[in-house]
Amino acid sequence: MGLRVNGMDKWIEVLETLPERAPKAFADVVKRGGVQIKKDWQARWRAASHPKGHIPHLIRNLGFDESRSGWTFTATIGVQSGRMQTRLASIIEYGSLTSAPHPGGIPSLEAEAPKTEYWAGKVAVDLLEEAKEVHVPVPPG
Amino acid sequence: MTTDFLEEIHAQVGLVALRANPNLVAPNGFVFDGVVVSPTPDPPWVMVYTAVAWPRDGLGTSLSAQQVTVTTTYTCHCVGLSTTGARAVQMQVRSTLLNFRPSIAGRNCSPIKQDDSQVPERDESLGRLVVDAVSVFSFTSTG
Repeated sequence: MGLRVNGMDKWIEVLETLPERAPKAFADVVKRGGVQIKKDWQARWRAASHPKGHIPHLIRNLGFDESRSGWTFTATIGVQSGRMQTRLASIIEYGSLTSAPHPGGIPSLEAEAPKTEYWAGKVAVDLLEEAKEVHVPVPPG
Repeated sequence: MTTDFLEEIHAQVGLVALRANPNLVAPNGFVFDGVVVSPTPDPPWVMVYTAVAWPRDGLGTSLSAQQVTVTTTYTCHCVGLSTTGARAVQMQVRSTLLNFRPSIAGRNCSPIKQDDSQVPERDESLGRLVVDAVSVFSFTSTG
C-alpha cells in the first residue's frame, strides 16, 4: 500500500515562496490605495476651491505615508502640519460656523475602499497560482 | 422626470431626529440647518451641514448599472460656551443619531454611523467666543 501524489511539488513551491512574494505585493496594494485617495482628495479640494486657486499650498501639502507592522500594512493620508495653509484644512474639511464643509478625505476613502478590496483579492489569487512576483500598478504619487 | 424630494427627505430625517431630542431644542438648545439665526443665540446649540450624494462606484451602482444608493452626511457643529459644553452637545447628538435607523418610504436605510469626531476648538467667527466640536455622521440608503 502506498500513496502517490502528482503535481503537488509545483504548488508546494508556490506556497514556500509566499513569505518572500506576499509582503511586497500587499504593500503595493495599500500604496496604490493611498496614492489614489490622495489624488482623489486633491481633486475634490481643487474642484471646491476658486478656479484661480485659494488653497494651492494646502492641496500640494496633501501627502501620504506608508508603514508596516508585521502583516499590517498602513497608508496614512492627510495634510502635513506646520506647512503653508495647513491650518485651513479642518475649516475646509469640516466647515466652520460661517462656512459649509467641503469634505475630501472621507468621500475619497469610501470611493477607493472597494477598489482596494478588489486588488487585495486579485493579488491573493495571483500569489497562490504561480511562484512569481505579482505586480500591482501603483500610479505615481 | 419625477419629483420625489429624496434629497430633502434624506436631509430631514437626521434633522427631525435631532429636533426630537428635548435636550437639543428650546429652551434647552437649538438645532440649525446650515445657517445660524441672527442674533446668535446663547449656546448650547448644534448646527448641521447636510450633504446628500449619489456616489458613482462601489456601493453606489447596482448590477443593472443604475445609481441607486444615496449617502447622507451630517456634519454637526456642536457648540457650547466651554469645551465641556461642546462635548455635552456632542454627546446629545451622538446619542440621537448613532445607530438610529431612519425610515424613508421606498428606501432601505442603514443605521447612522459616525465617520469622524474632532477636538473642540474655539471659534469667534460669529462675533463671540464659543467652542465648536465637530462630529460627522452618515448613512446610506438604497431603493
